[in-house]
Amino acid sequence: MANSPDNSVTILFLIGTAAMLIMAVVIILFVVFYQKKVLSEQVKQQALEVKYQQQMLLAQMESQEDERRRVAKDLHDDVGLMLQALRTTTLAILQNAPEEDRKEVQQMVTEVTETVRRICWDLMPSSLEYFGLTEAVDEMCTRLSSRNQVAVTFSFHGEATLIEKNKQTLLYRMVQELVGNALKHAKASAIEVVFTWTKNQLQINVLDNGVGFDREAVKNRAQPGHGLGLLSLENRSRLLPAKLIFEHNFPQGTNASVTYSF
Amino acid sequence: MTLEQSLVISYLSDGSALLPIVIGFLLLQKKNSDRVLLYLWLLTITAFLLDISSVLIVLGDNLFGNIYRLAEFHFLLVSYFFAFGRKTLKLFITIAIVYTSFFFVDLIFLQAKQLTSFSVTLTAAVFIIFSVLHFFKLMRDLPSTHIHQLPMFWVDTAVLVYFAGAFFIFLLRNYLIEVLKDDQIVYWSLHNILNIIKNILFAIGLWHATKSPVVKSETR
Repeated sequence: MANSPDNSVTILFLIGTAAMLIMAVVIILFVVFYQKKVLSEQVKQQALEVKYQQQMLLAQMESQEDERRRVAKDLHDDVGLMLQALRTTTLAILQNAPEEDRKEVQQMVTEVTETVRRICWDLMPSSLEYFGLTEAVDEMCTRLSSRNQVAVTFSFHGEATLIEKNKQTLLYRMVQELVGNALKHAKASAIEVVFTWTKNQLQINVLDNGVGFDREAVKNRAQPGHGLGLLSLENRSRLLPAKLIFEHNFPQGTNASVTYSF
Repeated sequence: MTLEQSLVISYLSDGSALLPIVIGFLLLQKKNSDRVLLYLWLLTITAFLLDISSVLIVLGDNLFGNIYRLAEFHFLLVSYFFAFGRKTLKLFITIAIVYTSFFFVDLIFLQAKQLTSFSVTLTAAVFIIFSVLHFFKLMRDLPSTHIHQLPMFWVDTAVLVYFAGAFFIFLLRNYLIEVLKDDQIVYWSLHNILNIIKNILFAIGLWHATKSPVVKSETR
């Protein structure tokens, strides 16, 4: 490499090879960073979409709750008053009718009034509005026990913490759905609802001694309407957010647990 | 650089082909193995066998080297054909015919008394272009997984780094042998280092192919 033409070829070779290698590395790095950037944009976009969907779902649930509240109020205020008036008027008209007929009409009006009250309560329990989640669930269990052949019991441990109204409503609806499912499908003779309050967590367990269920099989069932309750449970648990787990309840039945951290 | 050091690098370069060959056997055990990678695997086997043969059997006129260069071009071409998809069939057949014709013209007429530098340089140029084009194809198709998990990313990287780094060695091959005799072991060692890098990158690509059940380099 002593003479100058050799040197210039060597320099040309070195510069050329270095340039080619730098070009190769730049292209590879460009591809890697470009793809990383696009992937991170996609992740951001997906997060925004999920957030938007959750907001939509929350708005939908809130509007559903508002509608329930409005229907419950109308039923209670309007239909309830009308039924009171109907009872008074009917009894006045039937003043001269036989005692048996009067009792029958009175009983029918009482039954209708009770049914309307029950619907009102199912739609929007007043105890949830005024006393909170624990009281409302306790009342729900008492009512369901008296209405059904199944014993629905409620117990709680720890000290209840005040949580947001809309979260309370979501949790209440989840318990309502879980207990309703156990009553309808589990063929259980006993259902137990347990609230465990800790400093920053509420764990709700709905235990039954029924036949148990396969979560995936329920979700995959082709018939329309099937799995909707489960879907609404999952949607609500996503909105809270809470962890929803279904386990086998020893020796038989299902243990559904909802864990909400606040 | 001493001759001994150069020889060690040369043996390492030959031996490095074993890495993708061994991993390729794992790929064979998978059903529906990626054809792109199977051809690259066959290429590394060919390279290894021809390297061993050239050590064991001494034949004049760089016969093994020429067979390897021709095989290398066609194995890589078939691999890239499957990677780009069947729509490019006519283009790839044309390239294969043109290259093969040029290779023999170069071998018999243009550089009959020398190493076939022109056709090797053409190989490098063609596969630099193909690897860059395939990189852009990967970017356009935007796989949902990280790009470094795609076997073809590693194959493109290997091809691009090897041919880009060795381009000027191929171009100035005869000049290096005839004029820069004293320094040629340095240049061939550089080539051998690039070959080791290429084989390691092929091996990583094949390794990713054995792990990933869904990622396929082929397009229809």
